Amino acid sequence: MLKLILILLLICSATWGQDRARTQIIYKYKKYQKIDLGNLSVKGKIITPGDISVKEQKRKKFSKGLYKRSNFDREMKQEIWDIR
Amino acid sequence: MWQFFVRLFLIFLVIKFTGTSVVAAPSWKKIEKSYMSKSKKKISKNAKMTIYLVKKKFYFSAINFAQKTLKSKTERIDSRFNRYLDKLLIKVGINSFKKVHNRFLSRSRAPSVQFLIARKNFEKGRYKKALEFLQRIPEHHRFYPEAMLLKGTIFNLIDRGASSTDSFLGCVEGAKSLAGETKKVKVKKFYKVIEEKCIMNIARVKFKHDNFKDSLKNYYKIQKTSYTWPFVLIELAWNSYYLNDYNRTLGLLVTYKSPLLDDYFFPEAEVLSALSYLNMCLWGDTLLVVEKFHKFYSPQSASLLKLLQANKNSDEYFFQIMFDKENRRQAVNPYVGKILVQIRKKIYFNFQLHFMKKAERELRKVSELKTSKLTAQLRKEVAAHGSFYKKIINQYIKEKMFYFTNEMNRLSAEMYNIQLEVLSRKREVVYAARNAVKERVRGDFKNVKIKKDQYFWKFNGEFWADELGDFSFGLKSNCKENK
Repeated sequence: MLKLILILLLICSATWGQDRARTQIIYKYKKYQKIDLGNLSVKGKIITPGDISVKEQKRKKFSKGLYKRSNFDREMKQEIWDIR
Repeated sequence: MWQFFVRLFLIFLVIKFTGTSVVAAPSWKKIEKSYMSKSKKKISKNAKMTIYLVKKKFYFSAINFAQKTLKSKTERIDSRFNRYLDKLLIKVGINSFKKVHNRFLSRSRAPSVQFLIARKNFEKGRYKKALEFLQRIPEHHRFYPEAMLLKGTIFNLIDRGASSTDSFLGCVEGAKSLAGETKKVKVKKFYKVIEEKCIMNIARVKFKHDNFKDSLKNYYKIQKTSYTWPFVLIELAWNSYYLNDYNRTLGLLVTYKSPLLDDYFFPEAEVLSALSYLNMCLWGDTLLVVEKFHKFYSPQSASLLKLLQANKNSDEYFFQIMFDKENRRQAVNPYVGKILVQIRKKIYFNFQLHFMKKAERELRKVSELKTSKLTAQLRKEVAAHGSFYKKIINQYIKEKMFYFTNEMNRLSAEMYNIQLEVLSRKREVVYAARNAVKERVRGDFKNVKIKKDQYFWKFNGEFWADELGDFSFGLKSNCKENK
């Protein structure tokens, strides 16, 4: 069995090499080529917006904790200590 | 003849219901004999010594014997001893017994001891316990107004506003009643101050519950001639501030600039002035106040702090400055004189000074007695008590000065916040391209809020005593123009 597979592989490689030897592809490039990007078209659905823009956001207003007085508890305690 | 018997009956009634003893004070011979005796009678030696010395008006000499009686496991404490112990605490102050543990103090039912235990529990934050002991003080006792003041304060701290107000009202009535019963001017003044403190606390409770108008009504009950009045102004200003009457706020605070109140400097008044200007969008004025605070007041406070750090471990330095000459105090630091003037008016300071002087007088009396084991012991103890009160006074002055410098530091940070807020708001105006008012009208009478029962006079650069505390600015708010 193994011998049969090896023989088949040898035959294939031999014929493949012959094919390559028969066809020779020569590539020639243009000396000057203009590409119009504006005319390029891509097939598909447009998801993103066409123009680039920055959304205007409201300025974040940081509120500093300014000094507040909610009670005079400290002063009331101090009154006790300032008597006796 | 019948008049003689009527008078005798009246004297009997007075003795019966006031507990006055008609027995003359014992002689020193008797006291020495009692001291040296080794009797094991029901009324113990220490209790007897306490009673004899209190009768003899050697109060500071009696302190240690009273403390030993309380701490003793065997000595019985009866109502007679409690009566004299009560008198002793009134005469020498509660500080002398503060170091005695509560479990020994609670052996006595004397009302002044109950007050002392309540105070100690209050200082440790054990409010429920404090209230239990305050309940035991009778209505006509000398400590009753202070007990009600303490009770009201505790109720306020545990957010029981209604009970707090009731307690303060009880304090006001108690103080009025006791002031009426005494003929001594100093005692009358003392109860008047207690009464005013309780009225002020009612106003503070109203403020805490955002009831600003009622709070103002209570503050206005305090007379301008009162020692408490300079401290009322800043609190009145806060009420006006929260009622959005910024002109009135500024008017109240400018009262501190008058020569009469030169010794009363409150850094918080500067912060509140800055906040008032800020709320009226008067950026220039706000920044002026902030700049003055940082350029002038803060460096002075920093130099005071250096002075305090250098002498913080001294037991005498602050006591010495208190009794130094004014020009020397001013030379040390300009704030020292102002703070000391405020301390001199505090009841606590005056009490401790009074006790210290009494101890010194008693020491002289004891030194004149014939030398014996007892008098030698008493000389040591009374001298120790005298120096104890001196240390208390020194400590009190030191604490007040440190409190002042800490306040300056804390409020200096608040002033920086205000400065940043002004810059932030100015920047907002620029970004929004709003038109800021270029010319601000410097006050107009139509901006002054006047009540129906108020008269109005212009300020011509003179501070009249009866007008102090009633100033109002007439500035126009810049905020509407900025929108």
